[in-house]
Amino acid sequence: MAQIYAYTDGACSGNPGPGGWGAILIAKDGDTVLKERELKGGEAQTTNNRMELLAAIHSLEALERPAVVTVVTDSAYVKGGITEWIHGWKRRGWKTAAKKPVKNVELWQRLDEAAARHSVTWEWVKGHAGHPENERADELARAGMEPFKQRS
Amino acid sequence: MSDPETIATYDARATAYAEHFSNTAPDADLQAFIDALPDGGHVLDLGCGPAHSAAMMQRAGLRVTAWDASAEMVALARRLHGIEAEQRTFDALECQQTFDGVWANFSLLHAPRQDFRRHLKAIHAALKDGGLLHLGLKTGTGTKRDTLGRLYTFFTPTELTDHLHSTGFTPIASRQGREVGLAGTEDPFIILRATR
Repeated sequence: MAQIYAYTDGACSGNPGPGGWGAILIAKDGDTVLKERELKGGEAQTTNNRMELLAAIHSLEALERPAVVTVVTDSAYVKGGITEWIHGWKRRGWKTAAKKPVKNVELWQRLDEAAARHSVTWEWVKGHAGHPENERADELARAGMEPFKQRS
Repeated sequence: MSDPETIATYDARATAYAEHFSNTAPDADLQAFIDALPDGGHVLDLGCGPAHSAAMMQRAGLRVTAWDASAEMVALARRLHGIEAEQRTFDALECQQTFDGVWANFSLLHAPRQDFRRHLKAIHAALKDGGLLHLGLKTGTGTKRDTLGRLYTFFTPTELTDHLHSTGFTPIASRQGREVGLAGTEDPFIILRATR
């Protein structure tokens, strides 16, 4: 049974500002790499957290069939949100503990929906700390941002 | 000018194409496009093919005008979905401030390079202020005929955002990946969203 690893990253130039997201999907059988795919994209006006969320969303949405997936992110926001905070948000009707509306709620709902189709494990790694796949995801995120960089 | 060989390929393979891309629920791109439009908004599906997407947009409550240059695709659109598609080429787009959205999904890549910006300008004119363009294209460089005889014009992502800017659009989002198309090859593609 193939296991999918999704390495995701977001990037933003200014917060808000032009941003990008990138992901590498690797299907493995044990240590054998069966298939690899790269995804990236960007937006003209966005934030780093939104790009981190979209990297994970697009990774899960790109898998047509339900799969066993490990999403590897360097975003404590994504990891904390989807594994812990989201349960309270849902209980409170998408409000924070301080009764404020959850930021980026439409992306959290989309991520929740995309994740529900799969069996997902969420893993956090420290960014820019020499993880080769995280570095590649970062390069993809920068490439995704490229078309939206402000022109002089 | 449209390319007769490309249109002949779609005429000959309309059914195979309709089966290859036969999703019945909107994918994330189509859903985002539908969600961004006003209720009952008017959409032009430019190069609608068998009208799978047009049918989903209509079911979502949008008013859909669907065009394709292939007579067989237009016939399929009617037969499969009851969509009254019209046989028209990109050159026929001459209206002003008419549509809330234009869905040009992997169609404009068949226009010759020298016509691409002219078509973008025509789409810009046909959109209402604030209107939304969805543009799906294969990315790359040069011009190529695929093994099925379809003519492709390739642009890089940065060239595309430059063309959008220079024809009056504001690009707002993009997504890039790879997908297997009708010819069986896995090709890089881009989905761009831009507003007038």
